[in-house]
Amino acid sequence: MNDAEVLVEVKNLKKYFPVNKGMLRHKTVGTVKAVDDISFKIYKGETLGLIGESGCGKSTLSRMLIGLTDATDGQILFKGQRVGTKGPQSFRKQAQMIFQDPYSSLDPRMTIRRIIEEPLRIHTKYTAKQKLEAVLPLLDKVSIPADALGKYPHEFSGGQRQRIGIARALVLGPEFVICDEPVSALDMSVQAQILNLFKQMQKEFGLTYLFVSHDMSVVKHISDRIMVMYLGKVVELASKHELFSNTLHPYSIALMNAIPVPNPEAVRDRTLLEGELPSPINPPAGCPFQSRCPHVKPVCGVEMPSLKEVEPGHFVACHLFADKEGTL
Amino acid sequence: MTRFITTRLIKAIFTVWFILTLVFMITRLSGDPTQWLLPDDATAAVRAQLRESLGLDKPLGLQYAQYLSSLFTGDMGKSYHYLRPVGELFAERAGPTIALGTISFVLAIVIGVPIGVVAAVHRNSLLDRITMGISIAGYTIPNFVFAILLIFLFSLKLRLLPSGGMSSPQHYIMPLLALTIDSVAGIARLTRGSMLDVLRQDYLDSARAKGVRERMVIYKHALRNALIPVVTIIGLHLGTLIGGAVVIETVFAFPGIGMLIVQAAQYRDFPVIQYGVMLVSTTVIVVNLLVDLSYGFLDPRIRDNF
Amino acid sequence: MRMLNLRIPPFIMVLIIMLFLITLFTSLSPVLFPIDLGATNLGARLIPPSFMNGGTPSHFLGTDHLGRDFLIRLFYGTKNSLLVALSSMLIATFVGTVLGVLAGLYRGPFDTIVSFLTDVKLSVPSIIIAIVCAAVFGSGKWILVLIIGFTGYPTFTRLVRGQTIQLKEANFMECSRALGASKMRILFEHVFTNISSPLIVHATMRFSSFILLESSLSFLGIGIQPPDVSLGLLVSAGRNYLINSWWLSIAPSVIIVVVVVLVSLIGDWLRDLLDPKYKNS
Repeated sequence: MNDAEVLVEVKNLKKYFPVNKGMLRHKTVGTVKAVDDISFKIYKGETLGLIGESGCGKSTLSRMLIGLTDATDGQILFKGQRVGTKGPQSFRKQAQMIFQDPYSSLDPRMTIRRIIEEPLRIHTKYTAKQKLEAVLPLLDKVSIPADALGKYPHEFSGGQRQRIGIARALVLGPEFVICDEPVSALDMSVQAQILNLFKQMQKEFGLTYLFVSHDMSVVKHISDRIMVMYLGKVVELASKHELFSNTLHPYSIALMNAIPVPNPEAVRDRTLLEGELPSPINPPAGCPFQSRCPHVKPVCGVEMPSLKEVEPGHFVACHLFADKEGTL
Repeated sequence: MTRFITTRLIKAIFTVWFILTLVFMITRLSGDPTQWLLPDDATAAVRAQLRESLGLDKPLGLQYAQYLSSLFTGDMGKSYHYLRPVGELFAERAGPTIALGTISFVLAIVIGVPIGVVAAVHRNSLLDRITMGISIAGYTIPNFVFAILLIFLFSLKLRLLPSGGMSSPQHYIMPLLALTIDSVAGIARLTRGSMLDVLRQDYLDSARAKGVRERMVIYKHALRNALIPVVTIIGLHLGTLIGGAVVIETVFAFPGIGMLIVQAAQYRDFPVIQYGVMLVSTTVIVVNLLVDLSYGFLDPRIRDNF
Repeated sequence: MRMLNLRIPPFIMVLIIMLFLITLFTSLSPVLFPIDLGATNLGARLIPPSFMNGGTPSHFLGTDHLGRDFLIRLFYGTKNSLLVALSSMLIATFVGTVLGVLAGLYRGPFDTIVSFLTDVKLSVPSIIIAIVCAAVFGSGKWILVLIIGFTGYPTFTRLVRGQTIQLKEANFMECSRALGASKMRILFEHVFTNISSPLIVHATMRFSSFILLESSLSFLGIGIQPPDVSLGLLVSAGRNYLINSWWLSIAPSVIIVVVVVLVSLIGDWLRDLLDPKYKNS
């Protein structure tokens, strides 16, 4: 894995939101640490799945990666170059995003043609003919008929709109695509189709994905490696196979057990998470999961566990595990 | 609830103050009034004297302070044109205008609301269409046109009613008609719309299912809820009413406040204009404030949120 | 915004054509009737229309109380009234939209001020505002345009501001940003196309109220001043002659009503056309 080219690298990324009180917003009473010191790499050609419950910071992370929000601290490197909200325009050509809600991510007053052509209008000086030539094959690939070009978004179903969103993201030929919960708003039957389309596109265009979701079964279907987030921190990062066969972090285990299994007779170990989510404003010291962890130890309330590589390519942030050198 | 009241109150007071200050600044801005109060060949000395007597030679800040304080003392200076205290002028003419306005207002509500309700209930019937036709006519025909038509018909052709002045109750009839028709049309239409919205709601069906008689359904349940936007409408209509009064009074030579203000505009009579604007805006703002507050009583949702 | 598959019902088509013809012919008044509006002919006062007793063929609709040809005055009057209403509408739309968009996009203190001013303006009846302004700034065609535009813009600001705020929440704006669009591009491509339909409907509706306001002001004598002509002025001028020459007041009144009705009906149709379709998305 280390031999493959690193496309995106995130170093010590932080995003803190000040919480203000009072009518004139003078007093800062606390900070929400949406993303709290995260570092990881994304390799070219892979799909990194990002999973976590609502509020864990995954959306904030994707927004920073695509350049919609600035980081409070830390770096994002794309092909070795720093990128951000004012980042180089070249970055925007090579990195695109597909959004969660197909019902609001397309401008209702624009025709499909104008919507898909928008990235071309922004980044290129193509003539109308050239733009059309770029758009038509893409429409074909996402299985939208060509006569859709003159229609408006409200004439299409959610699944179709998401396909249009995919076409829009791919029209510039990017290398890196961030998929922010792209199937969460769709019916179950449609989800599978769209996920397969994602896989197909990846193969055909050699794309690298960051695939964000709160649904473990979706992430399982599409990812090569999976990163688990909790309250702004990465708690586990491993290849799909490793994560499912050798789940380490207690939170990951709970997530696994929540995946529905088709066999009604199967005996499941239901680790029910007890305890409450700590307040995101000024959380307690130590591991963010301590209030709900069934294996909590005294050290968990004192020291923040760091992300350690316990097996090659398998990282965990938990005091239960020693890293390769045996240090706890 | 008190917070609701106080915020609204503060905002209202601030708005009134703002309007007053604005009017003060604008009128002072337009230059030296002595220019059109005196003939062109008046000497500088005469001008200076006039300015002094009108209090225009004092520093602006002092004038402003005097202006504001006079609101409480009631001494608003003298009209440039009539050379009488402004307060007196208004007091004389307030009676007729208030009478006209209040009667018209009440009539408009008393006639307009039921018409709107009935039109909504018997939707698309002949009655509904006629009512809406009339209300569209009321909306599109300017009030001065109405006024002239009325004069034409009743004064000239039928010789029934006097066309100007206000010396008898009969003088009130046509202005009243003209003023009211405008409001009735608007209120009826809006009431109908609001009522139609309410009638579509589900909670009415649940009342029907409970066996409540249709009539009760309409009048007890639907009406109460439809009344809330109607109250707003009534509040808003006050502005239109005042605007209408201005025109109507002029057409019928009805010596009320409206006509006073219009003439003051023609004569550039600033003290009168200032006072008039203050009066009008204060009235409108106060009424809107009351309307806002009455929401608190009518709509429990607002009560609880504050 | 392209709406190529517009199907206009024949009734509306008739209305639009009527409005268009009225506008066209009256705006050609200076060409059709190149006369001096101030010229009076006291020897030919109050002649009835040619199809009534006492009328002459040289003045199709007779003359007014100063001997001026009435038909010509109607033409010029309509032209001026339409011109003033249209110009004010343009001003009100432009000012209102700019303020509304800026207030909606940037919020903050600017928004508070703009909203406050809008509310204040809306609480005073526009005719009063117009009267005060006329007193201060004088009257006349172009001052009137400014005054009416000034009284009219708050409703536009309120509408546009509300729409812009709604739009800001909408996802697709963010999507465009993520695609790399600059703020200016987002403004023109997305914001304006989305607010344009409610804006057009609103402008059409308000056009009627501008015509009415101008007529009222001219009627009161603080609008368009003689020797210039406007419909309101004509109605007022004819007041004193209602007994025998009632058409002097009634004809311009009819024209006012006709124009207002035309515009209102077209506006209603526009509103039905533009709104429900997009409410679904």
